[in-house]
Amino acid sequence: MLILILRTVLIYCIIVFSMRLMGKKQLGELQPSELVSTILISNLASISIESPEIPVAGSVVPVLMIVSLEILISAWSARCKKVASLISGNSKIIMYRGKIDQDMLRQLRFSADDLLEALREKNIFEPMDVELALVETNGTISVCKRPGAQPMRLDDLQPPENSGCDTPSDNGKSDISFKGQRLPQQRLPKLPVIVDGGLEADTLPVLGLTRGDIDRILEKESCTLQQTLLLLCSPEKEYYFLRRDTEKKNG
Amino acid sequence: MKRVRAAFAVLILLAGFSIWGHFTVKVTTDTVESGLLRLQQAALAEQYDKADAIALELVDYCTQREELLTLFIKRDLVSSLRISLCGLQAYAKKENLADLMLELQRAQGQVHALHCQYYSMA
Repeated sequence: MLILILRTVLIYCIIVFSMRLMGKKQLGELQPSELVSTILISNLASISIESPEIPVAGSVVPVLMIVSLEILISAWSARCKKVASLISGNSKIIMYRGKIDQDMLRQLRFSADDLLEALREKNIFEPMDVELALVETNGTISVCKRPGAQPMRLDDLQPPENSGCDTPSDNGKSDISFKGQRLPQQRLPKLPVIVDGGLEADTLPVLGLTRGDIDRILEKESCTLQQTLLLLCSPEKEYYFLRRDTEKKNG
Repeated sequence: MKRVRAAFAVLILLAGFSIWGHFTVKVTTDTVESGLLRLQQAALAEQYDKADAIALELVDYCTQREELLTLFIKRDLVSSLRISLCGLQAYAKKENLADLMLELQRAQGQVHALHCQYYSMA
């Protein structure tokens, strides 16, 4: 019995150490590879506690092996976009301006009920209130509401020319007004176009942008695709640009 | 970055542990196998005192290595080999030669099973 207690304490300590080593990411929403490693770790941990005839190394070695591989693969994914999309997949747009992308829904094996349920969890009861909905790689749905559907904010009352934005293109073209102020119509948030030096080709048609537009932005910033860490664009060609930190990359 | 370094360190430790395990299991099974062969040869040459000494030597060796082997291999498998080796000494007599040969074969089978338990993928 004493051996069983010692083995349990040892396994407990190793699992706590392993989860700590894997970081806080492991405790929140899980990516597919993280889910697999969590399931495997929980099973492996129980083996040597349940069966005293099996050596402790039979649990400890595979657990530590999985933890190490998980860390190395996630570090590799953070550096290489292709590896990240191979392991975790990409986020997919399932709704745009109230319209459901049924092909994508079928591809993701989401039913309309699943989608509506996810929307209701975000306090959206009308699909038409959705400006953009994405299924993230961990299976959660992120939703951006239409301006008319979300509670009024102070920012919404500012005319576009005073808003501090770079280049609002459709100034004044709005059918919604509040206390005499025209409100921006169906303003789409900035979406990722380049992430970690990789072009998100699926996003370009949604934003109504072409590859030429992106090349022009990169030229303006004197930067290549590979040197770009993040480029978020809106249909109005407003953008947020972040260059890769070369020192960190080399370090 | 610290976590990546820690992961590399853990992998290196695991590699070291597995190499150590490989040599520990291989050396033990090879030694017991050669000991069983010597015992068989001594018994066939009717040198029963020598066979008795070899059997005792094998039991001592196996008892010494048992704790180490249980780090890598199921405890019951390691124990059963030691128990089989303990029985050999009793059969190392002229009138029990047939039984000794049978027990030797059983012990050799157990050594093989021990080897397979560590190295086999199946």
